[in-house]
Amino acid sequence: VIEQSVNEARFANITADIMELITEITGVTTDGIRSTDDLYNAGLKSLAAIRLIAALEDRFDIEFPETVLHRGAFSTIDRIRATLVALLPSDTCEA
Amino acid sequence: MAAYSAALRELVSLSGAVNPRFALCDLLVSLLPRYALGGVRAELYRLAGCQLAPAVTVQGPLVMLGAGPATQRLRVGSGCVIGPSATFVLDGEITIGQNVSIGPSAAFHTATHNIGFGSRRMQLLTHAYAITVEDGVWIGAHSLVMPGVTVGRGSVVSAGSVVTESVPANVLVAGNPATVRESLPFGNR
Repeated sequence: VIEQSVNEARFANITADIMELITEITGVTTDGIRSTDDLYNAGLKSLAAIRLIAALEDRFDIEFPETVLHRGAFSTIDRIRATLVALLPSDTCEA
Repeated sequence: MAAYSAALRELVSLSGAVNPRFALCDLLVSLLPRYALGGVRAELYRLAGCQLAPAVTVQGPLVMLGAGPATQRLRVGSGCVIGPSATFVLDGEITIGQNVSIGPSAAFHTATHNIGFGSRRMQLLTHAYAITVEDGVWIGAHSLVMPGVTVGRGSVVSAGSVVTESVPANVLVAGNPATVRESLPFGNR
């Protein structure tokens, strides 16, 4: 149970970070956007998307392999989070 | 006067010169379905004298002009994709690096002319300046790349741009004349 709540907190932080970076890069607030909404339908362009990917790498100190650099992996906040979590080392998740 | 007659001779030779091998390849290329058989089309342009590396895709008929052995002045690196109706004016060399994407109807002009008197503003003598497009570049549809320009590695030329001056690496340019609008991430990957 404790582990689960730690994980939930960790995921909450990651989601908040993703939303903050989206706002920073696009200048658009994420208030009305649900975590499952398609960001491209909401107006995300490929140029902003690649900036977002670069910002995520900086923020989380990771490097996305070329295999995940496709539209599907970054199309919603949930998918971005899943793509990130798969790359983050498990012992640094709480950071 | 001597320069004028030399230019006139050049014009006559230009309009009269037909490279039979290029003419045949050009005809065969035009028979292929557009967007399909890009490798076959590339092979035909190789036969016509173009220096295309392996794994170059040509999605439709190209326009190639220029005095003398024009087709031999086009060099394209591996992994490039060239859209239909791209135009290469090959009085000077055009060198395209690896993994370059060229949109439909983009045009590369190596030739220019001096401005003359009002009775014929374009002087007939051709001046040629080489064009270089470095690795990874994306040239948008209907862009115009002017004589002497180098487009730096990893840059993007937005559709319909007119590139009059060289472009640095890893930027996005747009407009007429094209100017730098954005720098692009991941320049080294």
